[in-house]
Amino acid sequence: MQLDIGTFPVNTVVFDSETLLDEDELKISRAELQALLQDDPRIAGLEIEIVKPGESARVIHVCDAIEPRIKVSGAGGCYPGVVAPVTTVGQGVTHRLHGMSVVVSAEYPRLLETGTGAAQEAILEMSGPGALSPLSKLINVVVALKFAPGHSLADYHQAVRLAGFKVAERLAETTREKTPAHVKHYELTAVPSGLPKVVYIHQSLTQLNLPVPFITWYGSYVTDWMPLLVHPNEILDGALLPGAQGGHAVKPTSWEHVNNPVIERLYQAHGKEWDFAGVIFHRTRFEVFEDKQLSANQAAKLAKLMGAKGAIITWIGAGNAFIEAMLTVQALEKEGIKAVLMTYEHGGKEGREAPLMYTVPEADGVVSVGSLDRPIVLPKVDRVVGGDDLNIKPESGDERVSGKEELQLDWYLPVQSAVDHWGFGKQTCVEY
Amino acid sequence: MSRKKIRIVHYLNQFFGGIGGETEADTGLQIREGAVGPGTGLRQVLGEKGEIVATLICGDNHFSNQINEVLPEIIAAIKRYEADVVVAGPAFNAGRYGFACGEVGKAVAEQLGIPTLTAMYPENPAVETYRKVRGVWILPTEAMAKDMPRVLPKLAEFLQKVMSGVELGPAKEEGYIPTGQRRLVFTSVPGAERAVNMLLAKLNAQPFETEIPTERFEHVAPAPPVKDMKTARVAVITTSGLVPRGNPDHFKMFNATEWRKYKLPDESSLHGEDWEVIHGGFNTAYAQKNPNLVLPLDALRRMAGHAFGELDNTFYTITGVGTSLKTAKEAGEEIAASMREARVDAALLVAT
Amino acid sequence: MATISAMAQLAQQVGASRVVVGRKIPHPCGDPTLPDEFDFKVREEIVTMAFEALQTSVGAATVFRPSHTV
Repeated sequence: MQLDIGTFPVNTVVFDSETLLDEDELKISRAELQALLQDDPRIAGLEIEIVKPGESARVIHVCDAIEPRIKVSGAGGCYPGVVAPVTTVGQGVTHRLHGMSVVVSAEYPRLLETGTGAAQEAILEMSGPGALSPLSKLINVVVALKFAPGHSLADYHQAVRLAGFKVAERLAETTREKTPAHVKHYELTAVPSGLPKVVYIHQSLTQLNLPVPFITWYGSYVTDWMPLLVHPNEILDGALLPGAQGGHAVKPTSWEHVNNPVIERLYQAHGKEWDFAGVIFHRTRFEVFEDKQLSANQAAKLAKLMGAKGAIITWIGAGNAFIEAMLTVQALEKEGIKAVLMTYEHGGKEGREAPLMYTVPEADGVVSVGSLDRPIVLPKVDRVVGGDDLNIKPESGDERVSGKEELQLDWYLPVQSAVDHWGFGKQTCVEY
Repeated sequence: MSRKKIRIVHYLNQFFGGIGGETEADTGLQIREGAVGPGTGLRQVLGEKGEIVATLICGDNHFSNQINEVLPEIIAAIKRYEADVVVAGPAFNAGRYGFACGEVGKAVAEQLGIPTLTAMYPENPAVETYRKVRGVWILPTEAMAKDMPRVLPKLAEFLQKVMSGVELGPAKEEGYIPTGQRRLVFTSVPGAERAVNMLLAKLNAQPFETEIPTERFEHVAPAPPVKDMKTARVAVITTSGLVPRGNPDHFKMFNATEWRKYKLPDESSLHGEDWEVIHGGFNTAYAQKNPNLVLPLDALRRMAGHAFGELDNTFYTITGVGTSLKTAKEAGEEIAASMREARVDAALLVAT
Repeated sequence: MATISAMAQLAQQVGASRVVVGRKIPHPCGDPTLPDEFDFKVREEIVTMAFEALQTSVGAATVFRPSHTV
């Protein structure tokens, strides 16, 4: 499986009468993009805005962020199962607009009052202490939707998702006939013998019994699946995607999925330090301990069958899905496979409490990417996009507040992608 | 303006205070002007920077046996000598001495609000007990006192740093024993690269260091068994965030800070329409429909009078998601007190 | 006290002394996918095991498995 990704760096995005890419300037026709989505009966209103890194701006009701990518040659299309057929991807030539994303914003009605399916606020900061994720360093084209009444959560979700990917696809289309600034080749080539095989165990929680269980594989909802062997190029072409039901700190966006830095780094050392043997996608958040154990054992079994000597494990989510992460470390080490786990930590408001909710003695190689638990203050901003006001804790009867105001948050959770599951950034925790 | 010398009061046990060994461990508190024993070494390395104004010497047994009398005397002396900082030990691997140094530091921090510096062997049991006390700093030593010449200059250097008012860096950089706080910082290398580097080191049998040491949880001694279930009064706790319809006390879906108690209905079962499940960590639809799944009232009503004595008519509830250990501990203690008052013999906790 | 939890091993690790294995995280006491009478039966068996646990002397955190007939 050979994939060439051609990058078109975008340094400016402006509104214009036509949608086109002029060197590193992307021109966008608002009218054209609006026309693209106007036939969807679930969408009652639609606005398109641009926010830039460093700007005193905040996007609220964030559902997803998407990197514009298209397949210009080879089988299938980018983001298969959503805006392309389910043809196996990861081959041919893909173009991408880099340095920008399409952010979809919509406030879901509270059809579910509490529980994991209840709509939760997600905020994207373009500057200040909350600008923690790679998304804050991008020029973001925000597609802000208002829903027409009377549809189900699953219907609204589909509308949000389609809107984001259609716009992203249209923008990526501007690159089709052009030559990328640079091209990177991704292939799991045969390597000199003697290099140890390593695998990436890519864990994602999904939530069963909800209209949208969060993660999709080629557009298909991942429910209580057992671990699956995946080619990293499939992920780079957008086969593995999060849902768009409203994300937050512990739910990485589509942009992060296709730019996963663990895959990038494993590829970089391929053929030099080791033989990158592939990705094991591991669905987590089983609700019975034995199922957690079983899935961990199965992931370790696949790794063993692949001949792995080492593995990097990442996970996303919060709470009980972490048990699988630890059990997998244990199962790997028992098979003689060296495991490194990357995780955020807890620790409470001051970092004086236990950093991890569950541990195994085998977890001797853990990388910390920061904490979810610390309070954070998002300062007042000049501009809010995606709506006027928001409510962080509707279940406790809190009032809606202006989106421009200072927001004092108990923890990072409402800040989209503030937790760095895959190690894009340099946050960590150290002992004092 | 010339900088003021740092005023230090030094705490020693009978051995390091030059009184004698184990046979003198019952010696009462003695107060000497100036430096004694290891203090003279410390004074030398400190030079003009600091002055040991007094040395307090106490037998290890006397300290632990008479702690309620001797600690106030120690505090009073430290106050009288207008100390800026207290140095205790080094205690190396001496258990009782380590305990005394820790207790002195704790009392000084709480009552005088000035720092205490001590030094001991990392496996001295006192380290685990006192390292988290704010205002107490422990430097690591070897197990034996022959490490003294190496430790004293470090202690002097660290003392000046603490007293300079600049914020101290991470434990590993500064060389003190971690105080139990993990702080968010930015490193120079992205997380993904650190993971790859760690895996490379692990694969090549090179040294590497985990970024999150795994900790052990506190041991909780189990309660003795219930003697006679047939006469026992039972109460129920649920961490599902089950509250009466309307969420009257404004429970939050995450980060619970409060628990509540509510009356159980006289009926034989809980009905979904009367209750709400406020919780952001699990799919609440089942429990919303049938609250007995998170508070088994129907089974308990059926079993009362034969499988157990009687059911307390109050249940306890908290939203168990992202709840800090501190909150959980406080809630546990308060709930236990409330149950004791209601003469409850046994509790069931349903955890979601 | 007896703790009913689907994540019994987790409860045991944090030191809960008597842990009874519950069905699933969202419904520890019972199984709503079963017909009502069986769901009740599961609940009753879990509570019965909890009472047995309460009457058992334990030295360290101990896991009790209900004997399910459904």
